[in-house]
Amino acid sequence: MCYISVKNLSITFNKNKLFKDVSFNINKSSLVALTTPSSKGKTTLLNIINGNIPCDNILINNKTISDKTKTKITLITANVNYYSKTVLEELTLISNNILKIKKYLKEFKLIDYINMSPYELNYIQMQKLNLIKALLNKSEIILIDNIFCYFDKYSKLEYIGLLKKYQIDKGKTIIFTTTNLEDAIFSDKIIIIDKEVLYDGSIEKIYLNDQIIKKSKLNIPLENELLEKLKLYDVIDKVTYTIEEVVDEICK
Amino acid sequence: MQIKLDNVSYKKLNKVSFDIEDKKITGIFSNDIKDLINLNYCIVNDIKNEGSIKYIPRFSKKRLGIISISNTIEMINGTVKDYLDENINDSLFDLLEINKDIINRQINTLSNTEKAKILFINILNREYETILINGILEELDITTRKKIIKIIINLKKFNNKTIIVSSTDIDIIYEFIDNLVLLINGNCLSSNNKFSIYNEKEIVNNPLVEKPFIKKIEDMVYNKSNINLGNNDTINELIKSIYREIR
Repeated sequence: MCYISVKNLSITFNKNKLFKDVSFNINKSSLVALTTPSSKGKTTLLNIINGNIPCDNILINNKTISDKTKTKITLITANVNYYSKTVLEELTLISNNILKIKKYLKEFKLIDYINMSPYELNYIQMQKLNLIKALLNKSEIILIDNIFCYFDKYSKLEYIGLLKKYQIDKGKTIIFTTTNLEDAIFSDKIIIIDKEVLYDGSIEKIYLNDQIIKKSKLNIPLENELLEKLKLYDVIDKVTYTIEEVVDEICK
Repeated sequence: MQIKLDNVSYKKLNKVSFDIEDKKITGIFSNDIKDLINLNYCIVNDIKNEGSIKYIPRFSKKRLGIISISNTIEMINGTVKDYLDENINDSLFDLLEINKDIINRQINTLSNTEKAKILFINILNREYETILINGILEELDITTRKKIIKIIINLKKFNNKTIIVSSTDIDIIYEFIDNLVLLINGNCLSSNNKFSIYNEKEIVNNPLVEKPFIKKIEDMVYNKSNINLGNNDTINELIKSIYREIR
C-alpha cells in the first residue's frame, strides 16, 4: 500500500538542478534505502519528507504534510543533542512508561547505562538511544540521515538488524540514506537518484544491473568487486558465488 | 612530523601509546568514531590529557592541519567565504571539483561532503607538514572517495607530507596506508606496519578485531591450499597475485 508518494519533484538550487521530475512511492511498513552521489540531495530529500522543507509534491497517506503529520515523523541524524543528565531522564521526556523504557533499553543492550549521561555513550549507543526515542514517540515514519558511515561493520549490521526488527514488529516505515550498497542488505527496496530516479526496485536486482551501479557512484562491497574482476579474468564463471565458494574455485 | 603518544588517556581513551612515522600515511582504526574524535583533539593539542605527546620537530599549529567530521558539524553560520583562506589558488577548486561560485553560498546550505572539501582546500592551501583526516572518507560516493584518496597518496608521494587518516571502516583505509593503529573500545591493541599487524597472534585471535577483506581472502586461500598470496593492498593486486600464484 502506497504510504509516501513523491510526485514530479523538481528542485533547482543555485542554478544547479538537484532533482528533475523525481517520482517514487514508498509502502507502509517498509525499510527503504535512499541514495544519491555525494552532495546530490539525500539530506534535502529527507527534509522534504520530514516537512522541514515545505513542498506540495509529497503526499503522506494521500495528504500533504501538515503539522499533525510532522508529529508522526522522526529524523535521526549524525548530530546528537540531549537535554537530560541521564539516559533514563532523557527517555522520560518522551514517555512516563518506565517498564516500556526498560524493555527497550534491554532490547537495545543499553540497560547498564540507564543512569549514565547520554553523552557518555559511544556513538552507536547514542544512535540506539535516538532510535528508542523515535519508538517511544510512536513515530510512524523514521528517517535516518547518513549515520551508518560512522559505524564499524559489526555495529552497522546490528543497527540495521534492529531497524528491520522494528519495521516488521511495529510496522514502522523506515527510510535511510547511504552511499554504500551493502547497507541496503535488509531493505525492501533501494531508490537511487542522480537528478532523476535511476533505479527504484529490489536490492537483489540492482546487483545484476552494472550500468546503474556505475552511474549511481555507489560504493559496492569489496566482495562484489572481487567477484566481478575474477569473472572478467575467467577465474570464475559467474558472479553469484559466496566468498567460500570463490575461495574453493580459486584453489581448484 | 613525527608524533609519539605515550599513555594518553582522555574520556574513554585508555593509556594509548603509539608512534606516527614521519612522511608516511598512518591509519587509525577504531570501532567508535567518538574515540577517534577525542584522539584527534589530543593529537592537535586542543585539550589537556593524561600522558604525553612528543612532536619532532616541536608542535606548532602551523605544522599540523586537521579535517574532521567534528569540524564540518560546527560549520553552521556565515558564508563559505568566511571559512576559506584569502588568496586561494583556483586550481584547488578544480582539483576538488568545486564550482568557485560556491564561496557566496551560506555554509548551512552545503552538504557535509562539500564542507569537507572546503576544509580540504584550506589544508592544501596552507601547506602543512602533517595532515590529520578524520571520518571524511566514509560518507563519500565511490568517485569522490577515489579522488580524495589519490590526493592523499600524492601528498605523501610528491610533497613528503605526514598523513594521519582515522576511520571506523578498515577496508576504506587499508588500501593506501603504510602503518596502522588499532583502537578497540578506547584501548590501543597494536600499532605496526599494516601487513605485519594482522600476523600478530593477539590480533589474529582477538574476536573484536575485524580483518580487512583482502586479508580475509589471503588467509582463506592459505588455509585451504597452503598458497601464500603475499601482501596485497587492493583488489587489483589481489587478483594479480591469484593469477600469478594459482592460474
